[in-house]
Amino acid sequence: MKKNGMTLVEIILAVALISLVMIFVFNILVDLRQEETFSSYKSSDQINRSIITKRIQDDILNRRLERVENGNGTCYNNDTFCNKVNLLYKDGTIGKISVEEHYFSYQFCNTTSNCKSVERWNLSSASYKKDFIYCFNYGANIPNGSNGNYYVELIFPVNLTDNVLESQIIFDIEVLYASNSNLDFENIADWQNNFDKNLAGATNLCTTLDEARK
Amino acid sequence: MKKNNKGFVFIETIIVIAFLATSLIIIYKSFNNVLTNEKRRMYYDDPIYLYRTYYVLDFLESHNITSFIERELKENKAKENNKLMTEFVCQDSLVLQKMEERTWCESLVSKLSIKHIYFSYYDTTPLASCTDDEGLKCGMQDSLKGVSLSALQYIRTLGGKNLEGYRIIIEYEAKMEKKIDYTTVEEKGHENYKIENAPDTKYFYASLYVPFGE
Repeated sequence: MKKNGMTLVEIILAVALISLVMIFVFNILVDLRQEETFSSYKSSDQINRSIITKRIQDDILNRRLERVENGNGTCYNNDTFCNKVNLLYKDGTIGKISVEEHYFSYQFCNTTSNCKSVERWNLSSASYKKDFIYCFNYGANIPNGSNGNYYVELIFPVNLTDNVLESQIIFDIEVLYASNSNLDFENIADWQNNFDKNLAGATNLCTTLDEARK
Repeated sequence: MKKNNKGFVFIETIIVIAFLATSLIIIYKSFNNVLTNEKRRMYYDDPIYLYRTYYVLDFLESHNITSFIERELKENKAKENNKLMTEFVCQDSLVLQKMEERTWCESLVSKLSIKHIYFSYYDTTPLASCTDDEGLKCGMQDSLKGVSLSALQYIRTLGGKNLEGYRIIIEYEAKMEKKIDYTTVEEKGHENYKIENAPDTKYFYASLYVPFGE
C-alpha cells in the first residue's frame, strides 16, 4: 500500500507548533526593536547628563562657589517655563543655568557682560519638571567666626515619558557643593547670607529630602 | 512491492521544532542575562555619584583619613589576617577627633544617601577572585564582613590590576517613587498616577583612587 505525504492531523499539528515558535521569536524581535529605539534616546540623554554634570561641577570645584541667586540666563523656547539660577564663583565669574521643559542651558561669564556662548542640551526621552529643588545646610554647633562646613544642592528632576520610573533618578540633574573648611568661607554669616535664600521656581526641600533619603 | 516514503514524517517535524525551541530558549536566557547585567551597570559610577564620592573623600582627606587607611589596611598587610577592605564609619574618633566633625560627617552621609563607605587596595583582583555573582567563594569574612551581594558584584567590575594605592568605594541608597497604576480623570481628559507609599530602593556605587601619601 502506498503512503505519500502527511495526514491532515499531522499538518495541523505541525503548523500549530511552528506558529507557536514563530510567535515567540516575533515577540523577542518586537521587544528588541522597541528597546533599541527607546534606549538610543535614553543613551543620548544619559551622555548629555554626564556632560552637563562635568561642565558645571568642574567650574564649581576649580573656582569654588560663593553664592547662589536668581538668574538671568537665556531661554530657548519661551512657550514653556524657564527656571534660571546664577552660580557666582569666588573668582568673580558667573555660571548661568537655565532649565526649560526640554532644554538645559549653561553659560559661563567672565564678568556680568562678558559671556561665552550658551551651551545647550536637549532632553529627548523625558521632560524637566517645573519645580526644582534647592537645599542648603550647614553643620550645627559651629562657633561664630570659625571655619564651618556647609552643603548646597540643586536638583533639576525629570519626568520620564515612559512608565518605567525605576530609572528616573538617573536622569535628574544634580549640582552639588560641599564646602572644604580649609578653602572656603571663614565667616558663617557670609555663607548663610549667600546661600540661605529663596530661589524663584525652587522648593527648598532640605527637610523633605532628609526624610525621603532615610 | 516497494514502499514509497515521500514527504516529512511527523516525528521528524517534532524533533526539529523541539531542537529549535530549546536553542531559542537558551539564546533568550543569555540575552536576558546580558540585559540584566547592563541594567545593573547603569547604577555603577554614575557621574553625579562620582562627584558625591569626591566631596566625601575631600572631606575625609582634610581630616587625616590616611591614618585610618594605615591602621586598617597597611599595617594589616603583613599579618596573617590579610584585610583587603575595610569600612569607615563617622564615629571613628581617630580620624574625626572633634564632635562637630563627626556630627557633620553623619549629616553628610545622611544628605548624600550614603549606606557604606569602604576603603580597599586599588587592585581589587584578590577580592574579586574570591567572589562570584552568588557571593563569597572562599574565606574572606574579615575583609568582606557585612558587604552586600550587589556591592560584591560592583567590586568584581573594578579594573586596575597590579597598581599600587588605595581606593574609596561608596554604596549609595537612593529611594524612588514607584508608579503603580494609571487613573484617568474623565472630566479633564488627562491622566494622573498614584504614588505607592513605600518607595523602591536602588543602590548606586562609585569608587575613586585615594592619593595616599602624595
